Amino acid sequence: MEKITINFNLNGKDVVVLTEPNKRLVDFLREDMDLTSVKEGCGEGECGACTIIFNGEAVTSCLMLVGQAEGSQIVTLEGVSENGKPNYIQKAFMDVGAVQCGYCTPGMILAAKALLDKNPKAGDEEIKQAMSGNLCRCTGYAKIFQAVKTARDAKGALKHES
Amino acid sequence: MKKFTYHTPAGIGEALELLAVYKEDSALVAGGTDVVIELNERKKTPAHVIDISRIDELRYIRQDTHIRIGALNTFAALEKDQWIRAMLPALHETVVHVGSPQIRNLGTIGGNVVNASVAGDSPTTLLAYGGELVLRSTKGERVMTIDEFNEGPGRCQIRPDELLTEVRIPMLNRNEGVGYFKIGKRKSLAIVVLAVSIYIKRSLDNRIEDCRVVLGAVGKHPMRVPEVEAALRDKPVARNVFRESLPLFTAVVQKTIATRPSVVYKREGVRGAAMGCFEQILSDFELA
Amino acid sequence: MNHNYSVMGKSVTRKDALDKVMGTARFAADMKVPGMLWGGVFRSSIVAGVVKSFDPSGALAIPGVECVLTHQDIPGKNRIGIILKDEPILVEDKIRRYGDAIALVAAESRELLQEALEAIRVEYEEHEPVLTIEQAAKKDAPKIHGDRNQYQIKHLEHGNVDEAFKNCDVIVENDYETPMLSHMFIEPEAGLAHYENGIMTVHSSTQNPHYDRGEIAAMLNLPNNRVVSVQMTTGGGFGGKLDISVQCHGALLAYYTGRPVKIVRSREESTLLSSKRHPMKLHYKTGATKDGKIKAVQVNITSDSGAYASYGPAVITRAAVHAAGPYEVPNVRVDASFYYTNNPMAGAFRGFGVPQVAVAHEGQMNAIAKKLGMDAIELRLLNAHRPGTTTPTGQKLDNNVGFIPCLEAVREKAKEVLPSCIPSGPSKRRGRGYGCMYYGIGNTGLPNPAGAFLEVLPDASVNLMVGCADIGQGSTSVMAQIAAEELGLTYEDVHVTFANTQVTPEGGASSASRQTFISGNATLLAARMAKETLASVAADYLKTSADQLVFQDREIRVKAHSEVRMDYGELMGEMKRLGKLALGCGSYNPVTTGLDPKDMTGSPFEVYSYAAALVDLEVDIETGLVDVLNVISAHDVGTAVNVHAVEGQIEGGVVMGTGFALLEKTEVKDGKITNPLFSKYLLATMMDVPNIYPIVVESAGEAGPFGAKGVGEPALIPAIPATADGVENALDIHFGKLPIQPIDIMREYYKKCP
Repeated sequence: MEKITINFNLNGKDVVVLTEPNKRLVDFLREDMDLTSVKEGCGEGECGACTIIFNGEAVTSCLMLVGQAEGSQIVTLEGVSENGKPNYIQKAFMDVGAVQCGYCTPGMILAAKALLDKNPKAGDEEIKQAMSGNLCRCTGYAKIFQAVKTARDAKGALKHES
Repeated sequence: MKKFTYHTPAGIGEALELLAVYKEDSALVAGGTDVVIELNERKKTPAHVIDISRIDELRYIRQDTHIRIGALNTFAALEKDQWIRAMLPALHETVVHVGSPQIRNLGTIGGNVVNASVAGDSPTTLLAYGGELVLRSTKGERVMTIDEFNEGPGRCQIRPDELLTEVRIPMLNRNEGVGYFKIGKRKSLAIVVLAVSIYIKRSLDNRIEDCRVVLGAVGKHPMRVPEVEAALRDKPVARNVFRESLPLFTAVVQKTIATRPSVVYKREGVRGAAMGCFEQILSDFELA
Repeated sequence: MNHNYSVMGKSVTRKDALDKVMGTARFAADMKVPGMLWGGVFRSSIVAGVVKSFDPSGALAIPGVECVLTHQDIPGKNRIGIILKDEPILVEDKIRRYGDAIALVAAESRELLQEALEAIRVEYEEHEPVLTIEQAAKKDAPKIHGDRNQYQIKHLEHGNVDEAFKNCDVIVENDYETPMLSHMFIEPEAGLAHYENGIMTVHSSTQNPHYDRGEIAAMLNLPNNRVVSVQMTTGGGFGGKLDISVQCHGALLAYYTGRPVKIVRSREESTLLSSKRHPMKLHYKTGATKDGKIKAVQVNITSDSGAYASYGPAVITRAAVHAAGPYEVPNVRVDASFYYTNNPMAGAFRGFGVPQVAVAHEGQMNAIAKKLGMDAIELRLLNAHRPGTTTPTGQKLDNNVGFIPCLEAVREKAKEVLPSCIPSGPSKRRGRGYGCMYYGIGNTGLPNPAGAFLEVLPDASVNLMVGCADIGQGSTSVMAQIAAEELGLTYEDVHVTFANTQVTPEGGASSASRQTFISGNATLLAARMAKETLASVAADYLKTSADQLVFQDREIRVKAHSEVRMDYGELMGEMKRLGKLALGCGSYNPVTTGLDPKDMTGSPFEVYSYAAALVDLEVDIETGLVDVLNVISAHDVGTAVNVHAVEGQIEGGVVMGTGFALLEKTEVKDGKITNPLFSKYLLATMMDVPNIYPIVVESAGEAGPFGAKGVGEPALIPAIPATADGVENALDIHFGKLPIQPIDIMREYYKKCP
C-alpha cells in the first residue's frame, strides 16, 4: 500500500508526515502524534469525545480519514493551553467543578472553544446548541454549561477592562 | 481498516476519471460521516478510496432557474447560508436538526442523499421541494428527481461510475411555501423517528393549486402521499382545512406500516408533525 | 451544621481537574510502551451451546500474530465473579451468553489483531437458550449453572402483614416493571498488562483494583503480592466497571508472550459484555388507614441476572431491604430472587436494585395519596423515617436521619422557583411528580472494610495512600479534605496516591456509595494516628496536654489560650529533632450485623442517606415527547465534604434518572443486545436537560468522617419515580412500566382519548 504525505498545521505548528492512508484521524492523532487528549468513546460520531477543531470548526475525528487532514489547521486540547497554563475555558471548567470522570472533558472544551472563538458573546441557547454533540454521563451538563457561560463572561469582562 | 489506495482528485473531471476506472472497487469520501465507519469496521473493503472532500468546485450555492447546491456543501454551510435561510426555510429547518454540530460540520448534502438511509434528513424535504439531482460520469450527465432516485434503504439509482454533483430546487414564488417537521427522541443527535414535509402552491383566490406531501421514516424511502394531496387540492389555504386532513395522514401511516410495532406511535405522531408543517406554511403565507 | 471547618464543606478544585482540562490525564487506552502487543478476544456468536471445534491456524499463520490462547492455557483458576465464582475467563464447558470469551489473540498491531480474529474458525453445537424468567422458572428448563436457575431466594418478614391488611382502609395493588439498562460510561474499558521479574502488573479502567488483583492472581497461580493492579484515570463506571473486563485477558496474554499487552474494548464490545441493570418485575400491595398511615407492604420481586451472577446477590438483598422505602411501615413482607438465563449478564448499576424498588414504592405512595386525596408530600411526612424509626429489618435508627428536612426543603424550593404550573401550548399537558428514597451506605450486612496509610513529611506536606478508586466521583479530593481537616493542614498540603495495590491498602469497591463513609473514616483514623504523635510532641513543646490542642489552618493552638501556638514548620522541626515520624494507618469496617437468613432481621447498614425530588414536566400529546423542565432534588448527605462535587453528583443523577424514566432501555433480541451504540441507546444531550436545583441537607450523626454519609447512588434514585409520577399526573394515566417512551404515551393517551 502506498503511503501518503500529509502537510498540515497541528496546534500551531506546521508538520509534514508520511503515513498509511487506512487510518482514521483519531487513531493518527492518538497513536502517531501522541495526542492522547483526543479520546475515542464510540467510533460513530455520537459521543463527541474525539472532537477536534478542524479549520476552525468542531468535528469528530473518528469520522475522518487521516488524509482529510491535508492542508488543514487542527487544534487538539494539547494546543489550547497557553504557556503550559490552562486558558480561560479550561480554567472555568476547573473553577466551577465541571470535571468529573474527565473523559468527555477534552471534547467539551474544544466544542466550547470552537464556539467562543467565533462568537465570544454566544447566548445561552447557542451554547447549548454548540455543546449538544458531546455526551457526558457524569455531570448532567449543569456545571459544564455553567463553565462555558463563566468562560464567556470572563473573557467579555477581560476585554471590557482592556 | 483494510488497505487501500488513496486518491485525492483535484477536480470533478479527475474524480470522474477515477470512478470510471475503479467503479465498484472504490468508495467515495465526501464528509466521511458514514463511509469512514464502514471502512473502519471492514463493512466496506474497497481497494481504492476517492476522497473528494477538498473539491471546492462542488461547494457552490447558485441561483438561476433553480437554486443549485453543490453536493459537497456541508449541513453547517447550508445552515449558515443566509440565502438558503431566506429562500428555502424548510431546508434550513431540516439541516439545523441533522445530527450534532460536529456531524453538520462534516456531513454533506450529497452524501445524505446518496446514502439513502430510511431515516435520512434531507431527502424528505428535497422531495417536497421538487428537488432534482445532477449525476455525472465521464459518459455524461443525468438529471433525476428525488422520487426516481430513491429505491429503498441504502439503495438508490446512482451508478458505480457516477458522482452526484448537484442538488437543485426549482425557484419558488411567493405563492409557494414548504414546511418541514421532524420528530426525534431528543433535541440534538436525534435520528428521524418521523418527518413530514409539505409543499403548497396557492392560487390568487387562496386555494391550494398544487401540493406535495411527503412522509419520511415511514416507508422504505421518503414517500409522497397522493391521498392527502388529492384531498387538499382546490381547498382554501386555511388552518381548518389542514386540520381536517390530519386523519388522512393517520390512515396512510396505518396502511403503510400496519404490522410494524412503531405504527402505534407513528400513526398518532404524524398528525402533530403534519400540523407543524402546515403552521410553517401558514406563517410563510402570513396567514398564521 | 455549625461547624468551624477549614477544609470540609468547601468547594475545592478537584485534585485531578488540572490534568483533565489540560488533556494530560492518562486513561488506560492512552498507555503506550515499547514492544507492546495489541490483545483482543474471540467471542461467541451464539447464546447457548458448546464449542465443537476450534481452529486458530488461520490466525496463527498471519505474520505478526503472536499467540492464540484458550482455556487450556490458564495455569490457575478459570472462574471469576465478584460474589459467586461462576464466570469462566475463557469458555471451557459451555457458552452461556452472546459474546462469551472463547480465545485470546495478541498481535503486533490493531490491524493484524482484527485480521487474526476474523481468521479464527469455530464450530458450535447450539442448545435451546433460556431467554425469559418464565422459561427459566420451568421445571424442565435447561440449567445455566448447577441444578436450578433461581438463586438468592430472599424472604423478609416484619410484623404481621396478613393481619395488618385486614385493618387497612385503603389497599393499593400494582405491578411495576423496570428495564434492562446499560451504564454507557463514555470511556470503554481498557488495560495494559506487563509481566516482568515475576511481577504481573495490570493497569486498567476499573472500580476495584484490589478485587482485580485477586482474580488475576488466582488465574495465574501467583501469590497476591506478585500481582500489581493499578487503576488508571477511569472514565466513569456507575457499577459497570466492577466486574473483570480486560484485566485477566490482558494478564494471560502478557504472561505467555512476556511482552506488554494492551486491550481496548470497542463501544460495542463494552456494551455487550459489561454488566447491565437487572430488569425487574415487581408486584406491590400497600395498605393504609384512611388518615394516611401506611400499615402494611407486601412485595414480590423477580429479576433476570442473565448468564452470570456478578453483583446480583447484593442487588437482590439490597432491593429486599429497601423495598418499603423511607417510611415507617410496621408490617412488611418481601420475597425476592433472581433467575439465571442466557441473556446479557446483569450486575451492579448505580443503586443496586434500589432504583427499581423506588419506582414501585413511590408509585404506591403516589397512588395512595391520590386515593386518599392527600397531598403527596404530606403523606410522606406522615410516614417518613425519623430518628428512632424501626426499619423492616428491625433496625432502630439513630439520629442520623434527615428525610423530613429533605421533604420540607423540596416543598419550600418549589414555592420559590415553581410558582405556576401552566402548560406552554394547547398540545401540552403539564405535570409534577414526587419521588423519594433511602439508601444504606456500604455493602448490605457484610464486612466491607477499607484502609488508609498516611505520613506527614518534614515540610508538613502529607502523603496519603488509599485503596479507593476515583472513577470520576471525586473521592481523591474528599480523602484529602478529610485528612487536611483532621491534621489542621490545607487541602493543597495533601497528596493522595490511590488505587494501586503495590502501595495502597485494600479500599474495596467504589460502589454502594461507600467510599466517602468507609475510606473516609479510614483516612480520618490514619490522620488521627499520625496526629497523636504530632500532638504529643506539640504538647510537650507548648507545655500543655495533647487533649488541649487544636490543629487548624497550619497551626497548633492551645484551646483555652489561643495565643499559645506553634506553626506546623516548628512542629515538624521538633519532630525531626526528636527523631520521630508522623505515620498513620487506619481501617474502617461499618458497624453492621448480618441478616438473619429466615426473615432478614438485622442492622445491615451503619448509616442511610435520604432524598426527595420533585419533577416538573410537560408532555406534548401530539408528539408524545416529554420535556422535563425543572427538577428539585434534596439530599441528606450527612455532611457535604466538597459541595461542588455533591451538587455534581445530584445533577448527574437527575439526568440519568429522567433518562431511566423516559429514554433508556437496553433492547435484547434472542439474547443479543441490539442497541449497544450511542446512536441507538440514547442519553440526554445538553439541550435536553432541565433546570436542576440540587439541595444539600446535612443531618446530625457522627458515624461518618465529620458526619459525612454518601450521595453517589442516592443522587440518581428519586428523580426516576418523580419523573414517572410527573408524566402520570400530566396525563392522568398509570404506566407502572418504565421507560415511558413516546410510543407508550401515544398508545395509552389515544386509548384513553380516541
